[in-house]
Amino acid sequence: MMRKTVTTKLLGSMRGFPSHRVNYAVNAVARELIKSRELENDELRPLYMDFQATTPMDPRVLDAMLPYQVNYYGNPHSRTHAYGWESESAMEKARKQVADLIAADPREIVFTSGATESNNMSIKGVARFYKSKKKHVITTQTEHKCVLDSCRVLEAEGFDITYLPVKTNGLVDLQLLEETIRQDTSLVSVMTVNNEIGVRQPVEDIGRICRSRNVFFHTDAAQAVGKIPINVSDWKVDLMSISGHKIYGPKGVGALYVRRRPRVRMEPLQNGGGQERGLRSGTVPTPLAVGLGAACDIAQQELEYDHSRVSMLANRLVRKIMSEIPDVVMNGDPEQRYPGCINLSFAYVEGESLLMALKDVALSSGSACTSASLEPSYVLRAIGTDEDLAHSSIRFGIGRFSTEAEVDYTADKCIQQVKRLREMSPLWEMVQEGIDLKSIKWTQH
Amino acid sequence: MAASTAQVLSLYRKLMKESSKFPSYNYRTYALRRVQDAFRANRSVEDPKMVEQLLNQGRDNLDMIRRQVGLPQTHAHTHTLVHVRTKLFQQGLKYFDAHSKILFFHHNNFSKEMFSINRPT
Repeated sequence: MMRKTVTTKLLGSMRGFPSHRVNYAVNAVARELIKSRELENDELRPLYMDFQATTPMDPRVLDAMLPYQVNYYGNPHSRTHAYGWESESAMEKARKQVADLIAADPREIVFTSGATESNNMSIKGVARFYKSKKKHVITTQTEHKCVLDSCRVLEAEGFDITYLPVKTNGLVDLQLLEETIRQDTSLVSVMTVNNEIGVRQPVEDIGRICRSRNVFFHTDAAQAVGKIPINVSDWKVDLMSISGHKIYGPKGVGALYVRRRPRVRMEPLQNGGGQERGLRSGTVPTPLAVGLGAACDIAQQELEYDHSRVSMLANRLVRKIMSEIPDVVMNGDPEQRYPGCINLSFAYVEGESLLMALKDVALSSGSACTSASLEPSYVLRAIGTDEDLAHSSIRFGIGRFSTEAEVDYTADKCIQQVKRLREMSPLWEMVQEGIDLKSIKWTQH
Repeated sequence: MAASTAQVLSLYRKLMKESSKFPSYNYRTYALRRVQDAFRANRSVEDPKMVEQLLNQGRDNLDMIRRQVGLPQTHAHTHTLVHVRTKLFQQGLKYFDAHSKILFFHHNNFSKEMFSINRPT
């Protein structure tokens, strides 16, 4: 009865239609109302294509963590009883698993609360330790916000920071880096894989340059660990930040690799009982550390399989989109990249409206930590993208759990919505007529 | 004890059966695909020690999947759009776009506008 009145309100009286059609319509509306209730209860959820923002936990990681959440809850720093001993051995096992992934020694790994804390620790810690003799720090313009913000804080403390520009393909100019390193440079910080455009920096060359000039090299490898093979000795990296929730591990944990030979000295940010070599005091969260270790272990085993699969899916997505619609630009170097992070700019389409139109796919334009502001991403600005193209960029993230069906759906939906939005765009009409947009003199009102 | 083909096949069947019980679409498809690819990749392994080791790994994974699938699933039910769309397609509905809320009827073109529904606020 209620269903009929609601349906009548939505469809009108339906007079004159044959009864089987009316019944079909009423049933369809009822199903639809159920679906909208489901959406409200979050039962029909969007496809997840934002693997750079965070990743779902691998079931194997959760399986490793559960015993330490429920039964083996001891503090790993308790020396006097079995709860402490078993917790400590689990933590040390996790430390070894993390170290093995990056070809480091377990004693060089410090557990932190995430890559943001690791970045803060390394930049502020190293710079402040060598403050008396070395006052210069070099970083790039495309770094993560936490690195740039830490550098800003150091500037306020009296340090000299150089924010290196990047080339239009997103890579650092090695010549420029060599020229910028001074006698009083203590640290160079360049991220391995960018989280917005997926570009992979020439870390081996940067490491070689820094080692030859006796400068510490820090790299934020949050997006790279477990996705590309990493060897801190070959790369000559002194400090490396690792994030748990980017490699199918738990949120709230990360690690920092701090080289012991030659020793990297740093001032600790967090003081206390001297845990983690005195660099990061505080109880190590055993379940989270175990989760991080398991995630690293799994990542090492699955590295090749995941990489080939992600590359295949990424190629599928990009080829499909670029073959169907014109005027699509991929931001960042096409070769030196991690395939799972694709940043596409659709000309003559507004990025936010495209995101809203693609509501049933979880996507992002720019990184999660800057998506609240209305400005286009600073990374895109740094690689020299035009203002209008920077506003129309979308980041597609593909990961271990993505399927062909999801990628196909995303591509189809994207193509359909871009075409629809371009139909509505006067700029697109003008371009179709052959008018050069740069030659237009816009009048002031 | 030499591992026989029957053992390998039995383990494969068990893994596939358990993997198909994951409520989450992404986990389920990943597990099914990964098990299949792992067995295919190791198809031509001859060394019996290696075979035994791989089988033990498989058994450990089977236990893990059983535990994960058996976790209380009160909040874990996630039907994603792709999952639902394939189900609807199988039921004979031609196309259902959950967001734009337009049901396309196969036969009546004029009724496309008729049945466009605004989401009740």
